[in-house]
Amino acid sequence: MVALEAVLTATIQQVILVYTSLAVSITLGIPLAVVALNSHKLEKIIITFANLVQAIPTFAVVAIVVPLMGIGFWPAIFAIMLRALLPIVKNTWIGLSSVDPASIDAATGLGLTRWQTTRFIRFPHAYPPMFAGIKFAAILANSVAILTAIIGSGGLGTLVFEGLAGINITTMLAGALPAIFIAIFLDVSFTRLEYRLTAGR
Amino acid sequence: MIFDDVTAVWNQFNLTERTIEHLWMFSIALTISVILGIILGIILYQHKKYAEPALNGLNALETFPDMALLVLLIPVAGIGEVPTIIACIIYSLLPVTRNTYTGLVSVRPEILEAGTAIGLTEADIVRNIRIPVSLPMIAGGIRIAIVFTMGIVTLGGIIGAGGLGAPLQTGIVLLLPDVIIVTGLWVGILAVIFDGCAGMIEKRLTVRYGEW
Amino acid sequence: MTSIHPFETIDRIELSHLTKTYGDVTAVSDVSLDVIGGELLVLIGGSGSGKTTTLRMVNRLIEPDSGIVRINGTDIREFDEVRLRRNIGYVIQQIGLFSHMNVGDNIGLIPKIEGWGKEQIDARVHELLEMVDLPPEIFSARYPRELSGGQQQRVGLARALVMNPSLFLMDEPFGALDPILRKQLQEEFLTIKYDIGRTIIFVTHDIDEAFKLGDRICIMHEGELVQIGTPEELIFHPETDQVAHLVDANRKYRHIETFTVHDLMSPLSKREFYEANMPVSEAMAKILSDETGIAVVMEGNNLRGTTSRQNIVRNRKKNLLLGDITTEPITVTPEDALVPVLQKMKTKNASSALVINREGEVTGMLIPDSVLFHII
Repeated sequence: MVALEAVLTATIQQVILVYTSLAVSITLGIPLAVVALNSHKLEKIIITFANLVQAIPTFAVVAIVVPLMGIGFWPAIFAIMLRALLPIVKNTWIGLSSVDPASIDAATGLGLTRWQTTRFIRFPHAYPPMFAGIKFAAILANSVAILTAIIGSGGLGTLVFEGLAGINITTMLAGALPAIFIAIFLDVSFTRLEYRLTAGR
Repeated sequence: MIFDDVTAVWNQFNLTERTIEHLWMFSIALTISVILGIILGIILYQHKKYAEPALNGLNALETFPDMALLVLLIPVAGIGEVPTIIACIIYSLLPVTRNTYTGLVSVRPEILEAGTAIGLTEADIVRNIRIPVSLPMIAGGIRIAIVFTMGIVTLGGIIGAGGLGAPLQTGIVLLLPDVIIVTGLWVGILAVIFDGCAGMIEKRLTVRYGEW
Repeated sequence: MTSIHPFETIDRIELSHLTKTYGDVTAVSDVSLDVIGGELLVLIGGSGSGKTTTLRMVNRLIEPDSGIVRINGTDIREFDEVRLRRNIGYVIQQIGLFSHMNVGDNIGLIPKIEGWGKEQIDARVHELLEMVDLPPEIFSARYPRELSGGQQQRVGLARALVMNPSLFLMDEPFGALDPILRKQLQEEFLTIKYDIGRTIIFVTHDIDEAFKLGDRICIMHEGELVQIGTPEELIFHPETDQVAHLVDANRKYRHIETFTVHDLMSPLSKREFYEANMPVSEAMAKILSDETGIAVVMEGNNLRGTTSRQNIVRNRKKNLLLGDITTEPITVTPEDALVPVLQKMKTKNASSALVINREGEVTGMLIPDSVLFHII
């Protein structure tokens, strides 16, 4: 038997890990996409780097963080962010840069500044891919946050690894099942949010 | 100096054998996913009413955390290589199936009409037009499957499947930075090489078969 | 295997009481007409006139709600539709070349499915590419994206010819091309048409194209047949004001006696001028990449003669200079009255004349619609 309290604590920790890393990723990712939009050189570096890191197995990313930052909550957040950042940056950048050039032309002709064009023309156009990126990042964060228990982040992974170590299937499932529910919750809630924010576009 | 350290870690942790195990699991899992995925994509194309529910189902599985999926498989398939390979297949099925299906259905209508008008049968059109035109799309799906499979094979080390995930886990648990760095970088390099090759093949197919 | 060719030649195609509606929209309403074997019938009308829908009912890309199409007296629903289509050449504006196959494979696909041997297919592809003036050694292995619009349209035509169909359906095949290239392709198409002598139903919205190509013209409007007849009948006996307006929109047919050469000539660009001492092979490379149809060959400042793209392509393997394959054109001046010029061209059986101004410079070509020769 696994104590209900232990499961609850681990679940709360898991949720904190997911939302904290997601918040950090959004805060960093969207400005990075805007930077990529405004400089061809940085655009190339950022997008190439994003594509490259996306190919690397999560476990390797989590492991490499240990020699760099040690173990614990913040190294875990950093590891999760390394994964979750990429879909946000990439999708935002795709949305921002795929605006019809004629709209940009028209906006410039109306007298909008570069910043205003980005704010009023490019961003509204970029919302759908941006939200898709954020939803994907949230689901990814939940997935990585299980693994980061191995570097001492806490969360539902703690139960999974405990179960694995003692070959106790109940403990393993006590970690895995709530994580799946969180994944489904994230999928549904972000789809709803996406729908409400972009409805009518 | 550095070279000596790397060699020491490499030999001490049998990284050659680990790499072979790793790539062996990877190849088996990927081959099965690709074959199953393409077959499933074609079946869904032939029975379009099942396409949406089937793809939605696979999509839902995709949101499951990979570790949770591995754990769910343990009561059924035990630990080691088998659950790892099954998890790889479950994850990689979606991109291959979805891209095969999308490729088959999204051929430009005027090309299909030209085919019908010169007297191709429905089967001729699938064989001579739909499948070749879908190849770049299918290759794109396989490329995603390669990334997924690499990721999960590495995780397999945690549930006793061996491969390069095993020394990675040892490194983390025993806090051995040199093992983590050597194995982690090696896994990263392998993944980037495979992804890069897949990307090149995809590009070639797009040039060869893509629409203009 | 009797059904390989459901019909060897066309005696008559009868469209009787064809109707097709899409929801509330009537695309074709009770259209009846006969196509006589060996003629080129043009269906002309604006968008929504039902001309394309009518055409597509002949190869069963569209099935009518009511009415029957008969070929040589047989209801086409009695033919297997795949067999039927393999015996009807179909050429459309969008061409629909298969982008993943090279030119040779595009043309050879149906023969391959029909089980022809590789050598037989290659020979057929070769022959057809020669017929549409694309040198096979250059074009057979190219992909559609490497071709210009005009070249793609030639490949489309070759592909439609491959099973030697006795009936052709063409839907604005030259519509996407620029005007000069279009005229040149129409000219070449006319020569192919006489070579092959088949029945053709041709859809267009361009009255000049209709008069240039059509033996008979069928005018359609909002799904109904308005009038059908030879160009002369339509010009001199239009049944409605609408027809009168359509056939004589630029007034040239009924007021031809007031026209001069200048009114009808097409200007020439620098690209159409060649030096007489240029090897034919080199001239071919130039004319293929320029997508022009005529070469005005000069010897310094003097005119040597003219030659066509077709002539250049067909002489490419002989070791000749361009000056060796020219013919002496009929020359006219811009100020000449049109009718005598047309009469002269008619007696000499020439389809074009070279326009030279008072200073002796070649300024353009006169390529009149064939109907003009009939009505003078």
